[in-house]
Amino acid sequence: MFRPVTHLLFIGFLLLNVHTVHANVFLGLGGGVRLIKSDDSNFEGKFTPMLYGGYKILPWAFALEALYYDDKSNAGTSYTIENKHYEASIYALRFINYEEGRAINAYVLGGLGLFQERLTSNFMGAVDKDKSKLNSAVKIGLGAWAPLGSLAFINLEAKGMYSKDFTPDLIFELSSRVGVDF
Amino acid sequence: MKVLGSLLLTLALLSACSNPVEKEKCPCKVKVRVLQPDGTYKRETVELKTLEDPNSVQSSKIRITMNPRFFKDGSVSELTPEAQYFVNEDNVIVPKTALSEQMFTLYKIMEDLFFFDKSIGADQVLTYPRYVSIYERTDSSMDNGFYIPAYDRIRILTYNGDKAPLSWNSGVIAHEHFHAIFQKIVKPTIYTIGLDYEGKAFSSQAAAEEVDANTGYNYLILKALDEGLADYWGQLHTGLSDSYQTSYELFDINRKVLPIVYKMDSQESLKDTLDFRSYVIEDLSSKGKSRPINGLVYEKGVKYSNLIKSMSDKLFPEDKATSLEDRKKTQGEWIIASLKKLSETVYIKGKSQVLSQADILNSFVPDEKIGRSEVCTDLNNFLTVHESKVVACLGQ
Repeated sequence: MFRPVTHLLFIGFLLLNVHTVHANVFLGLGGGVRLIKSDDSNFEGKFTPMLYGGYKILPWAFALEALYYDDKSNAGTSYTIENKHYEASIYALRFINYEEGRAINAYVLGGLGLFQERLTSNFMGAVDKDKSKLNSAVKIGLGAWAPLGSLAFINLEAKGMYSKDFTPDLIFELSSRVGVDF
Repeated sequence: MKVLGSLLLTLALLSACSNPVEKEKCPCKVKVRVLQPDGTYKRETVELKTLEDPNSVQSSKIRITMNPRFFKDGSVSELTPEAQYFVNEDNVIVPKTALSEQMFTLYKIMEDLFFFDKSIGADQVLTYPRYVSIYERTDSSMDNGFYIPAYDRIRILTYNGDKAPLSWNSGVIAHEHFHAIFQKIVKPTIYTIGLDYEGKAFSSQAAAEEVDANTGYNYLILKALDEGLADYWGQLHTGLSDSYQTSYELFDINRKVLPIVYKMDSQESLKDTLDFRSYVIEDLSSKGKSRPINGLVYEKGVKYSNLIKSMSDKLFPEDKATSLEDRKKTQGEWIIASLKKLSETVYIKGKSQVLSQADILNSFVPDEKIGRSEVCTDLNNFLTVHESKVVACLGQ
């Protein structure tokens, strides 16, 4: 009934209005490298693609993040395990001496993450599935926020994350997002 | 300070919302792969009663280690694993990598063996913790498992086959574990009388030729018996005549443990075949690449495993056992008692005289009269006509 161009116009109208009314909303995409321990106690980096969005009430900002990664392993050619990790987090960011127009503004952050893991094992075609409890993690870190003009931003964050359900309990992540400021 | 205060307040609120941080407590339930009586593997929830630390998969009884390197001074450099797992909604530990699942499965197999050893008194001769070393990866994988006497541990190489990994195979692990029992009961005697060539490097043909022909033969025939009994031990634990086929395609030698009495080679023939000096010289000339004697040892070992199975079925008939576990226990006790008697025989005769089949097998004839005549029939069928008879069977 509605043509695609009508949809685009309507979305554009919404974005313009959001920009007018809620100038502090931000939305971005990003990725991180999470350092987790492998079976042999060495650290390995795991790429974590993520969605990121939030709201700024300077000097504070509040953000939501959703990320996912998976890990595949095998023994011989007949047996594989795939473990998928889903995580959603909420963060409070506190800018340190935020100034409009400054190239980079530093911030500290604290957050709470909820995550669940879903496992599929396959031995000679016999598939078993399992999922973890919904687990929580506490996160703290430091970051830098750089506006890219008036409508976009890039940030870089280093975080430590603590949960009894991580291996080990304390793990680290370096992440970066690029997005738009509405 | 205001920033720091805000951050601390945020963290305090977040901490209050999160679960109390506390590690999994063990004994605990874990999902592992279990070899079934029909030769298939199922993922089952089992309780690990002795496990103390699920992260490193260890306890005072059993230790799983990774990527060991062995040194001549007897030391081992190895890693303590960091098992990867999550806890599901039923509070069961679920290993989330193939290697972690192998570690927990190995632990379960070793724990079952520990309780069995305890029930038959074999724990008295073993030292704890029992070590099993696995590899994250090996440069030249051989899909194999070994017991290494010098380091008193089982070593499982990376599995690259298309069947069940060796670390799931309770038959293979029980086989290797039995070598430790044999090592602790019979080997001290072997060392005492100078019969031990395990791991001994022969640098020259002249050194090999110094080996006494009789002691060299005795060493190999006891090695064949050790292999045969180890296969029997695997059968005892799994109930399967051939658990190897769940991990391997084919063996050169049929290693099935069935109650069949094959005629053993004559002493003369055995002495010709199991010529330790020739073996060492051949090994030296092939620069260690060929170990033909291993095949011969396994070939003779199969005759022993089948004979022992046949004797065991006659001594402990299934229909007279109160339970399968009880039957398994009495079979285990019989083997341990027989090894102790064998150790005495080796001490008396092993140094300079050739150990005859009758000498070796006499240890396996029980003192009790029940089943003895049937067992002696087996032994008579096993021995060639011209062999000396088993002393315990004289007059049967």
